[in-house]
Amino acid sequence: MGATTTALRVSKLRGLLERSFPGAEIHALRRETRPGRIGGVLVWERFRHKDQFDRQQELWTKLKAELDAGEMQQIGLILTVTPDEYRAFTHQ
Amino acid sequence: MITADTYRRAAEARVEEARALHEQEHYALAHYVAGLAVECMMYAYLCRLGLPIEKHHDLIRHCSRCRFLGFLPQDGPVTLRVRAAMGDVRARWLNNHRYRDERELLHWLQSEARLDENVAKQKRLRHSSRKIIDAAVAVVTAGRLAWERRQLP
Repeated sequence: MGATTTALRVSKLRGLLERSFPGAEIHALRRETRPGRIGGVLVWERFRHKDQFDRQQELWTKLKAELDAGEMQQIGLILTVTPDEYRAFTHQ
Repeated sequence: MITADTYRRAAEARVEEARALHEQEHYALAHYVAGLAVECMMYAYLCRLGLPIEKHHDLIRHCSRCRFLGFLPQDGPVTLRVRAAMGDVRARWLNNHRYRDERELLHWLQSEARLDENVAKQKRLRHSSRKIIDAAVAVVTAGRLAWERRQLP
């Protein structure tokens, strides 16, 4: 991150995701390492019938509309899954 | 030191970088990086099991040795999707794609892999890049979600 880049707060990203994906659950949104990018899991019913490529494109399009380039560079992989897919991993 | 977690984090970074490369229309490098993401995830699981990493780049052999599918929810749509995704990545990826420019990758897709023959030639690279990234995201997503499972299969 450059000296003039504002640190992206996890709470800001969480708020943006909540507004952009109404009703979504957001899990484990954090910087796992420092330095490191913010990652997490976005669980949203309306990802159903979309493949992973389209889900990621939708996510990044929405983030890009709200964040500047410096903030975008602080975001890593945010997993995009449906509630059923998420439950399959967490309830086994 | 490169640990299982290092490989897993690298897989997550590489797959996001592949998507960004695709967006910038760097389709040849996007192909390579997408496959590399999957390889990193397989290495993560091999490391986790304490198995040595063999010096080849056969993703299906790595997948089989690390029992990757065994970590996933059994007999459900997720596992079916990941199994198909592994096949997609294998069909579209070679470790030496890093030496191919777009012209050479297009030639390989047409003449050697014989993929996407029904797709217009001018759209074929973009189409294949999209397919391998979609598959790589599916594999890395499953690998990440299964990572926290305590019980080994």
